[in-house]
Amino acid sequence: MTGYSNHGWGKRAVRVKAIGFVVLALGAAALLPGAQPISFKGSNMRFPDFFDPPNQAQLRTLVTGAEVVPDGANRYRIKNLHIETFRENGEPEGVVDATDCIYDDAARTASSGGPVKAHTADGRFRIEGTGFCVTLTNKSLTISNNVRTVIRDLGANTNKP
Amino acid sequence: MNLNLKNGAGLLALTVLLSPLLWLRAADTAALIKKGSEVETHIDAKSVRVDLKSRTAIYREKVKVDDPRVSMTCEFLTAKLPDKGNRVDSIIAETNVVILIPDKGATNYATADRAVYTYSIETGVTNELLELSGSPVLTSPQGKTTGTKLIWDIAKEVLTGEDIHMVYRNPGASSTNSVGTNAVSEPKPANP
Repeated sequence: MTGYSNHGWGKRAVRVKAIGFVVLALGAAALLPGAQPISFKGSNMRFPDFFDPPNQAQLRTLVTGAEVVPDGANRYRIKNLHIETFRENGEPEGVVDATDCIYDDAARTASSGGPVKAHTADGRFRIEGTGFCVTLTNKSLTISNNVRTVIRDLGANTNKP
Repeated sequence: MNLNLKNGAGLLALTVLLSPLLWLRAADTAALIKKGSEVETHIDAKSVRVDLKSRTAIYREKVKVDDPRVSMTCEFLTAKLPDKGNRVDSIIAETNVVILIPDKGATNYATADRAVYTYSIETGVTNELLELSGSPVLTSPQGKTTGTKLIWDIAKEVLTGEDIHMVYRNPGASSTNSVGTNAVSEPKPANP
């Protein structure tokens, strides 16, 4: 299934919301007497977001999930969440991975009480913890518990022999 | 030694107090961190907010920093993340800051309400400063230094400060000195 959405952020490029979305269960059951509400379960779902013009063709963030289940209006429960962020010049910027989360496509947030791992694209900054919220609009990550970070840097002092 | 101080006695005391710390510290650092080698800094805390746009991480509660060069605990820490192969260029630690600096077989430590570490390279010259403020105390096996502000130029291995007061330990004797200057320097000898 392929969907389109405009979040009212100006003339943002059309966002392709659900590439490769596989519907495993829907409609037919709803036609039966006493049927449960329609449910969807998809895999390999993608939520790309693009920069504003003139870089409207450039990916800003890309949210993917191995398994996606709708959880209310614009909300999805995602298993194996994977978020990539990019700079305006197309360079990869950061990556966030989590086993499970609630993704709000309207607010552009992903949150969970479970574990999360993240790192910058160059791998120099790695962080993990438990309980998190990713806000894609400002590319921020908040981790509420058990934060562990590893920063790799160069130890050289250039003005020493 | 090219000493640049109004109070010669105070400088002598400061030299006695700080020389082992600065020189041994430099030697240890050099041994641990070879030029161009990579260093891992570990930061643990209860919570954090990372902003990729500004490349800033703000840690809160029970912050613990471990690094081959230094260990530190505090309640709040703001770190500017390295960008494209550079190193952390700014760390601000606040509230109950305790910094442990390993020296050969001994531990020097500093306490303060606030510690600001900055690193930059300008026209090929490295600037690396650690500024302690808020009742800073610098303690080494040789003695204790206090002041309203202590600034350690790590790159140049020079300590400056404001209203510095020293108590240094001397085997078989004890002495104290106050240095009423805003510019106490301890130049590195030409041939250490």
